Amino acid sequence: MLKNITLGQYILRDSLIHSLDPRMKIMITMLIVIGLFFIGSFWGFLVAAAYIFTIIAFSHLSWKVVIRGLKPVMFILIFTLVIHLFFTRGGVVLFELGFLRIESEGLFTGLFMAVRIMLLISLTSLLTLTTSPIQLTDGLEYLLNPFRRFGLPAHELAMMMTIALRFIPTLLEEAEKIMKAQQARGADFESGSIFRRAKSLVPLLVPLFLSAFRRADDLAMAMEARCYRGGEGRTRMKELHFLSRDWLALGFSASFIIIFIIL
Amino acid sequence: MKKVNKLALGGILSGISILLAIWIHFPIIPGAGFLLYDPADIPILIGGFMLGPAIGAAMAFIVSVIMAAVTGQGGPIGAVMHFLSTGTLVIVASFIYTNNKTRIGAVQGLIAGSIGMVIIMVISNLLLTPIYMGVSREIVVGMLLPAIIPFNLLKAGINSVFTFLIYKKVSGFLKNIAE
Repeated sequence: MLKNITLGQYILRDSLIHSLDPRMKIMITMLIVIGLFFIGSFWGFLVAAAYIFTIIAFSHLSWKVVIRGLKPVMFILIFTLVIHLFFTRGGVVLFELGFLRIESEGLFTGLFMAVRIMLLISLTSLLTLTTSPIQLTDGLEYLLNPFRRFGLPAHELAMMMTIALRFIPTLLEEAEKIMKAQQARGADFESGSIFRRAKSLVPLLVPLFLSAFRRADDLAMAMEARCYRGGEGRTRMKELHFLSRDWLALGFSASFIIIFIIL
Repeated sequence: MKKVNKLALGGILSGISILLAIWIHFPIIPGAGFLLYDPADIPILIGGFMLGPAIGAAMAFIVSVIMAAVTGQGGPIGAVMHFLSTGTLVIVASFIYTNNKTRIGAVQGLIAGSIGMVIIMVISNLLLTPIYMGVSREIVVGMLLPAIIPFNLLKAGINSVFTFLIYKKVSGFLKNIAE
């Protein structure tokens, strides 16, 4: 049950895209995502798809990995397409059977929206395929820093995020152990109605929470022992600096955005 | 509780939330397979109850960002929706509970939080789904009663019941450790 969890999409490669500054990658992804919503024609999508394939080529990843990332949204893609097929009206009638009627406008809009969702998802999964969660957290902390003066605790958020990421594998192991321990006492997690199975979650979650409290306490003490005192005046081992390749990537992406919005 | 302890506990509970979301999820509304129930809000609610609404909101933010990054599901809009739904639930529930730390306060908070989450999800579905899927607003309105409202009500309800049951058992332990 727990065995088949693979955490994270990140695939380590030695490539230009992987070595870009995470802040720049996050900002570019946001820009392109916004840009995608302004595309008005299939030609624009073609250019956007070309952009995505260029990034895939530069990141030394197989395009199959990116396509695999679309699997979880398959249902929403089909749903979008079907809703448009049957409810969007206009154009010539392509197909009619009883109360079912498909008109060309429906087919067109359905495909249009499905392509856009596909591009959106493959773009964001490209970001997480080429950027490790820790780099993302780091980048996010830098990007949120300007909002400090409005009371946003950027450093604390990033610290909690790092702790969460660090503890997911440990907690997974813990959960497995608790499950086996409860099964040894005769607990049954895999049969019975949904209601019964839901109830069997409680003896699993309570020990998991208790061990989490203990771990949190230990961690806090360890942090204090190492003189952790928040983000004020913190120094870093790895500092982020924009290099010329980052500006190049921004320029390249910006020109693509302009082209596909115009088209 | 000291700030470091709050950060550590908030971080680890967020980790549990992500673990639960990846581990357990299944559709509960027939015909709408993308509306998945997951128990990920339980640790966030417990964290909100213990550490206050601000840390609760921070946990909701962290979990939605990491979930988007780790699974790639839903993309940017999925992350925003996740943050809005979990965030509303935890902020409302833990705000009421912090001001009235009794069993009644917890129940009131969880009920108000669930209702708040349903309202926010109705509004954000009306605003964001037409942009995301390109469907007209009337179709989203048509989906409200058969899918969106019962789904969010059920999800928030189940998670609230779990939180109530589990929080009662674990909160005593934490008070011992805090002293």
